[in-house]
Amino acid sequence: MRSRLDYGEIGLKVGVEIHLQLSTERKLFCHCPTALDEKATGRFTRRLRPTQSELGQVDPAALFEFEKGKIIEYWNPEASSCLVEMDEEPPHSLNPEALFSAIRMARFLHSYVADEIHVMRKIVIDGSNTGGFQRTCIVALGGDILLDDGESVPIQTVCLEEDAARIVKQKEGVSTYMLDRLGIPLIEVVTSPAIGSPSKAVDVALRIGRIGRATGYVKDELGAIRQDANISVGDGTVVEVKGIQRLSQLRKVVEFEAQRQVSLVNISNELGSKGVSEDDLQVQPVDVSEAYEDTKSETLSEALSRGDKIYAVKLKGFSGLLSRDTAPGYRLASEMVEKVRFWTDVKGLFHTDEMPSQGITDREIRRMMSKLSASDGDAAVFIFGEPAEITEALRRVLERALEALSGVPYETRGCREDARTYFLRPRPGMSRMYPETDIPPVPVTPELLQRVDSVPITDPRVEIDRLVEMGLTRQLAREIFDSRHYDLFLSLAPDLKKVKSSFVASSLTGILRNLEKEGYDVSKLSRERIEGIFRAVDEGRTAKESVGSLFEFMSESPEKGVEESLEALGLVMLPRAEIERIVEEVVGRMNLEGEPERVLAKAVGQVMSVVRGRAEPSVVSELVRKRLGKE
Amino acid sequence: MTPAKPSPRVTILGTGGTIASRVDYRTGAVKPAVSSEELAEILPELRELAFIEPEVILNKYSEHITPSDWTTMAQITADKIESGVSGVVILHGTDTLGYTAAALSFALRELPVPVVVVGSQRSSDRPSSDAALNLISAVAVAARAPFAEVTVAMHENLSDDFVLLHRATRVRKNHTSRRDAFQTIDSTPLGRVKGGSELELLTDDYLGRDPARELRLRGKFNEKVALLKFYPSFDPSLIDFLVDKGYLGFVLEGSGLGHINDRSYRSLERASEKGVHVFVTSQCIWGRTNLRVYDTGRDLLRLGVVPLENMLAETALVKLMWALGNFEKGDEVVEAVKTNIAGEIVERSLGGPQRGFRD
Repeated sequence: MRSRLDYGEIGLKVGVEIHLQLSTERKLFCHCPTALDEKATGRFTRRLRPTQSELGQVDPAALFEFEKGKIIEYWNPEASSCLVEMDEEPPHSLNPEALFSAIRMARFLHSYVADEIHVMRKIVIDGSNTGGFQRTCIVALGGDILLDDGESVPIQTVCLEEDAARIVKQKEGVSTYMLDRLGIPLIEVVTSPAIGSPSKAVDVALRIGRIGRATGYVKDELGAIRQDANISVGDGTVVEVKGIQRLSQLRKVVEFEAQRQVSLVNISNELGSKGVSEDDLQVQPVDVSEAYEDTKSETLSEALSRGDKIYAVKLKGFSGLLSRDTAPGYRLASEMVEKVRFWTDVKGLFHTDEMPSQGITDREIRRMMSKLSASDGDAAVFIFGEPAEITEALRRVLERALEALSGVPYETRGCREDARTYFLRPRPGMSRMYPETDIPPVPVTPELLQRVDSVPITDPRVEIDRLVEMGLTRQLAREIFDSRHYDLFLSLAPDLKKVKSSFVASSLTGILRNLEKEGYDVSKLSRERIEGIFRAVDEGRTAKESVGSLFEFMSESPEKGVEESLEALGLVMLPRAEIERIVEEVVGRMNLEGEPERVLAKAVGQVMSVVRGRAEPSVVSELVRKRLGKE
Repeated sequence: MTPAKPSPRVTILGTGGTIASRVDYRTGAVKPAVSSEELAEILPELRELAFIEPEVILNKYSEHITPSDWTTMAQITADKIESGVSGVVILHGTDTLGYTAAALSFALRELPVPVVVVGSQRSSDRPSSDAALNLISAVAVAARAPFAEVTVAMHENLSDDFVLLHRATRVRKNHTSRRDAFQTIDSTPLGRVKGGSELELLTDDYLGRDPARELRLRGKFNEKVALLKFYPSFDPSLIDFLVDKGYLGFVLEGSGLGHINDRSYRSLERASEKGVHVFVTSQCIWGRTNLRVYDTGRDLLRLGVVPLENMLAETALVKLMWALGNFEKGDEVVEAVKTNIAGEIVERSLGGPQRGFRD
């Protein structure tokens, strides 16, 4: 596997879908507030039954989930959800405030705003939407987004949709969702698949996120901006990767997916040149239990002794391909396992690329291969268990092997924390969209457009320039603009008399980020408490150096105010006379011989170690200088 | 899967409403699912419960249903029962489902098998619809329940687990949209179905299933009947108007124990004199009327007003239409309305307006 891909050469094409969560006064289709809250006041359970689409089709994955008898449990917090989220009441009218801000976004992106907004239902049957569908509407089509480097990427659509419920637990057969997030308005911006590199994908996502933030409506919480990506390489297939939470993940996901697709195309070419055809993979699973009847493998012998069978399928020409890395930490065999787990209760499989191992001997493998009439270049996958179930599992293995002949399967993939992608579900067709009959179309009047145009979005670049004028470096300006404390910064920094804006910005980004990395719960630092800390510094009640300790202490003591915390930490400013006394005491004990500058530095250092956080360094320096001058 | 025993036959009569219907996306109209194949395709579970004979007899939102539709439904139901089915399920819009169910309770005397009226609160074109579980449960009851009464099958709560079987004369739609909108008032539902198949009885006070019993059809309804709600500014000339228009009777939803103000006395007296039947129920929904506690009540009794115990106002209205349709003489009509014949009057006063049924 090559370590670096030439993205131009492989024909990488990426389109991103950015979801921006809005902090409007109410949700998209009801009058509940958009603030999250976890205090569930009730619970109920449902089953979602696949309905026939317009064309009389039922989504196979949805039908499958239903037939497995999956139960969905909902927790409903009364402070943030009502009968509409519970699917016990028809939707209220489309939130005009959300529509307004989506149109603003669309205008900024030169997107063509629709004359009428038609709300549609998009079938989603995993339970994340109580109705079994997500409501979504196209607000505008076309347009483009201009990046910082002067390049532009075409926009396909700007939509308004409702956020899904949050999954809180997933046990066998039961998925549990919390309803607080369901129905929060999202603006979805979809770009054309015109992005040619992972870093450009990040640039586009960042730029759209910043424009969203500049509307003033986008939430400044973690998870308020989420992205999906559509990724393909020249001979690959468009694969949708959902649920990318962070931008750092986005870059890695694109790299991973590009690599995976290139590897899969290579595998397909190799299979082609070996002459492997679809007919070669039209085989039935074979009972190979006999080959293992006196096996030393504990797992297999236990299985056989409780009456399980071992079935296998031959994969002609696949020898070596199953365990070859297709992307870092990922193989074709991993994809087979994912499909088997999705469609059956079988947890894992064995394959000959990893044999002999786990007590399974070469001789047993040879016996199995001869039962399968397999030859040297072939591989085999084998599974133990109950015959009907393992037959189904092996059928899924064969299905994935067939897909390998033509390259990259058309599917929806999920994204793990480490940015590896995995099979999420087969890609649904367009038939999953149908009209929301409970909401009449909303006209977009010329008056509405005029109102939108009277409050255009300020380009985030202009805002960042403004921050630079406030004395921030460009890097820091971008960081604070992207941070969820930007609002706080804007309302606080210009108000402070002594504390510099750049200090506020770097504290709100650097210090907080580090504390978060170290595992402190910085969400306990409310806006008011953070403001209080900076005001204490500004009013001279404590020193700048105290900010870090205060953040740390107050995030762990949510009940304590700034004053209490200062006292608890011993960080209340000392009166000048007290500092003078300490200076006298420290300097009095010191040996003052030597170069005056070095003596001064040493003395200031020693005094500071006693009074840190309780005296400004400038004051200490002044008093030490005065004291030394007397000598 | 093949059932162990020979399949019971269950007739499903479609009358409209969102249950078991499909949306035509070109016109936006809701079309009923007509064939048994279509139904089986939508609800494969039905095949395991019974041999289904579906028939569309009407296609109306329930607010458009009239008493002559009740007559049609009663007639066809009687015919199907005569043909030997194990039970009849009627699909109905929920708005006036309670009225229809009550009407059938009076029209189908001496029922040999169950008749289940079923609807859905959340449209069947959504994966979360309550239609499937309600209908599956209704078919299970029609096929196997030990009672032979008209019941209403609807969700017990917000979860897809229990479906309650309400006695048709005691049920009321008490919410505009919730799945559990239908509640049994001041009584106990006959039973509940768990998970679409397990029937649990909640009372043994019911008419038992007996295919040999001979059904008597009394399916006529007289529409010259009104339901009036009393309120502080109530204008007695409304009563005069009904009398002058040739109405044969009306039900008054009185305040509290069943009271009407004194400025209506003259009009009520006039109605009585003209032979117009005047009955009183309470607008409180829960509880029993009593016209002997206060002077007002005693005055009303003297004026010839007939209180109807704890009969639901809607049921009283339907029953009066039915009594006028099937009895000739005035005192027979009054006697029929006052006498409990299908569980519409409950002797023991239990319960109250707590949300839903709790056991």
